[in-house]
Amino acid sequence: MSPLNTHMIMMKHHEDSYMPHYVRRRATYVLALAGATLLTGCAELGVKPWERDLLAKPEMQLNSNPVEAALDDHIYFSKEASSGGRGFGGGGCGCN
Amino acid sequence: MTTLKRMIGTLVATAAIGFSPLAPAAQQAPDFTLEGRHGNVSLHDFQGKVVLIDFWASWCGPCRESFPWMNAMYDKYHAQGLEIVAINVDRERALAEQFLARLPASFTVAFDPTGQVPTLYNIMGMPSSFLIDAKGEVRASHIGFHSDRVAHYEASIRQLLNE
Repeated sequence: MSPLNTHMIMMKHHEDSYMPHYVRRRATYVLALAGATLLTGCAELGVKPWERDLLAKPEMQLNSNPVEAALDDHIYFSKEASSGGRGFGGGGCGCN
Repeated sequence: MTTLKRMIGTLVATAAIGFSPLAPAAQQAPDFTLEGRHGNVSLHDFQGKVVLIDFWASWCGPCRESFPWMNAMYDKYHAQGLEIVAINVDRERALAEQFLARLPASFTVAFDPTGQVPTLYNIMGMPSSFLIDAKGEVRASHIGFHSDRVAHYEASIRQLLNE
């Protein structure tokens, strides 16, 4: 049978597919392989405990002024009756 | 026996093997050679002595408490054969020197800016300390320094010195 015939027969399984079945299967394999490879992409992330020197510097902290951030959060909580979204040293859940 | 009983039996047996009182083989402390304040520092230099290896850094808060304690231990037990090797893991040597200027150390200090020795010892947190006996085996390891546990630390040192 000619390739065109086999293609037309296989079209029954994928009614509106423009891709021949062998191309579709190869595409699935390639996509699965790529997906599996991508999943391992972040496996080596993470700072070792002794490599935290840069992260410990004052200029690398999330809050430049933790005391001021805590006071601002208290004012915000008092006015809005809601808080959160910022991390500050001091205080915690339930503190008013 | 029902399948369920057999499954539970297997599970219990496996767990029992896992928790069996087989002591883990004592680990030999990996040897290293690092640059110190006066020449090179190697672990094999201290063979036959009780060695306290402490990994510290200028940015490590508890190290500000551990240094005075280590000075005290060194003064007290050095004559009995205690050696202390404090390995600095700062990438900037100047920061380590600043720390040492504020908190002088009477014990041996070594510098490892590339982090090879912490990897060798598989450090889980900073600071980390390892107590090594006279045979070179790691007998105790601690993550962090807690001032309320200094009595326990000192007791371990004393126990190893008396062996």
